[in-house]
Amino acid sequence: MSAAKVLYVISRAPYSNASGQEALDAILIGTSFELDVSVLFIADGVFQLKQAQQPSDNGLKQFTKTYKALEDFGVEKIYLHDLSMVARGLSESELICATTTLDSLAVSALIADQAKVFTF
Amino acid sequence: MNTLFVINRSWHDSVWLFEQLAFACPGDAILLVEDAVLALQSPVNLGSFSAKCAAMKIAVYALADDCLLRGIDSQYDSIQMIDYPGYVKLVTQHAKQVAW
Repeated sequence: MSAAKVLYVISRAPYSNASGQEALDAILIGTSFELDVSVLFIADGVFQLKQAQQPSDNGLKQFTKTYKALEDFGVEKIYLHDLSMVARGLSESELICATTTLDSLAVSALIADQAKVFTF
Repeated sequence: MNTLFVINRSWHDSVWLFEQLAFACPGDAILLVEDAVLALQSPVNLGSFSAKCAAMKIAVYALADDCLLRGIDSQYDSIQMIDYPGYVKLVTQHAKQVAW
């Protein structure tokens, strides 16, 4: 039996809430259960991947660095909604890790293809 | 494998989600709960949303209890009001849920 497809959707910006950290915790748990994990950054969630974050100035930990390490945990399917990125003045060169960009139709297809979808 | 998309975010905070029809595919359903029912107060926005959903064969529901609670008096032919048992039935009729 092939591993169940599970998608984690990250739709909120970092630091104003714990949503991103909670998403990372959930993703890492998912990988330990050998699920077929995909991650999608959408809406303000694309800011999670922005370079040059300086949370230590505010006494915070830069948990977003962990996204770069996801590949080491076997998470190779990292997607980004292109419209969300462009609408927020970001470009792929400003992101901390490589992602596959998807248009809106492709996002719908990605969601439709999953066994479970968790949104953060 | 059809999906039930449950939106609980206000239209006014999450226009993108409504513009993209919650990323639903034809045959899927969208249920508006909590602050998402506030959209029913804006007939122009909601009219365009429900027309697009109808064209895509996406059914749209709203939780009546959440409308009543917020004083939202909604009468839309294109949006079916459901109660909690109706919510449960919708869940059982879909293979998975996506909570936005």
